[in-house]
Amino acid sequence: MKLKHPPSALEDLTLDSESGAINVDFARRLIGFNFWENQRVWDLAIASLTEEQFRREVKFLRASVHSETQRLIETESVYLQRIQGASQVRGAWLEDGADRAAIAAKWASVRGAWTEFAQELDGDKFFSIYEVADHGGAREMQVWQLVFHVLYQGTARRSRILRLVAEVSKPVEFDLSLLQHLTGLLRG
Amino acid sequence: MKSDLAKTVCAYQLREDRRLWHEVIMPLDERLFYVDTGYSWGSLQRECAHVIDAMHGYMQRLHGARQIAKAFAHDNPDRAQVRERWDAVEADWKAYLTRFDEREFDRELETVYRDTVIAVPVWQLLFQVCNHNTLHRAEILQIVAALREPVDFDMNFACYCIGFAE
Repeated sequence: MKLKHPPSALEDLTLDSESGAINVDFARRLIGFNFWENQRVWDLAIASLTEEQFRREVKFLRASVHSETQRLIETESVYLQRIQGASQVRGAWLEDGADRAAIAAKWASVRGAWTEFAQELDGDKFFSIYEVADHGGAREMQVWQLVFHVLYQGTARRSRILRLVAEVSKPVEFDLSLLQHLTGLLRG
Repeated sequence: MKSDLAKTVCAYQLREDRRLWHEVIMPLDERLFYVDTGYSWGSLQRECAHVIDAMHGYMQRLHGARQIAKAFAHDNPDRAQVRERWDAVEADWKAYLTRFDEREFDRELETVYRDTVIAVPVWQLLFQVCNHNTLHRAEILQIVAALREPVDFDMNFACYCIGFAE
């Protein structure tokens, strides 16, 4: 896997005035949203669960809050390593005996790595080509597509986590919304 | 580039919503469409109507409307009516996206959100809709799982992009 620079930039009306690169501040803000929302879900929905509730499997969803949270952390960790060109991608799944403090610490470290990535992100990197091998042979994707894959996974999995929390405890009293984060207009 | 990104992301949303209708919602026994499961919007009827109403509302905001009209004339549409409304709202979005360009991505507009007048760039409204639809597709799958059984419906943007590039 290697990163290539895209063809010369198309005319863009929002060039960063200092560097001449495409301004990808929107992407930084979307990444920031993802981890802000993760933290809210952890603090407001997961932290107060008992250990039994945290690990209880909800049959019709074939998951627990514990397993769904681990899947989310795993996705965020693995995809960032891929984007950054790691030759060996390391899984982030903690052993079943890991307590919530360990899971929270793992998630914080993944968040830190993404925050660092976002701070250094520029248009060249964001729109660069990522070559990936799959069963059909070598494929090309752009880095932004992998970033958005992580963002979508985050949104869908947070929705599932809140449903799982409702099943093992009670529905949460906050909503998930990108625009409330971007505008600061939180409900309630 | 940013406009191509936004168009790809929105096209993915529309395709996933349509796939959900085809593969999950329409094959269900219609009686299940109206069952209140007691979570979020309760029934598939109300959940789907809410998503369409939000998409319709944001489209009006993108066109500068300050008074937002509802997508449905009454509160109790049947499944065929909800499905028909989805087609119309989807067509509005497709028409908007064909004209979408770099200038539109960053265009700033005034709108009302949570009873507050705000100035936002278009991209924030676009990704709000995409995020909102993703949340609700996940909830719809949860409702179907509660009503019947889990559905095998993978929501995978990376796979979509690989297929899209073929």
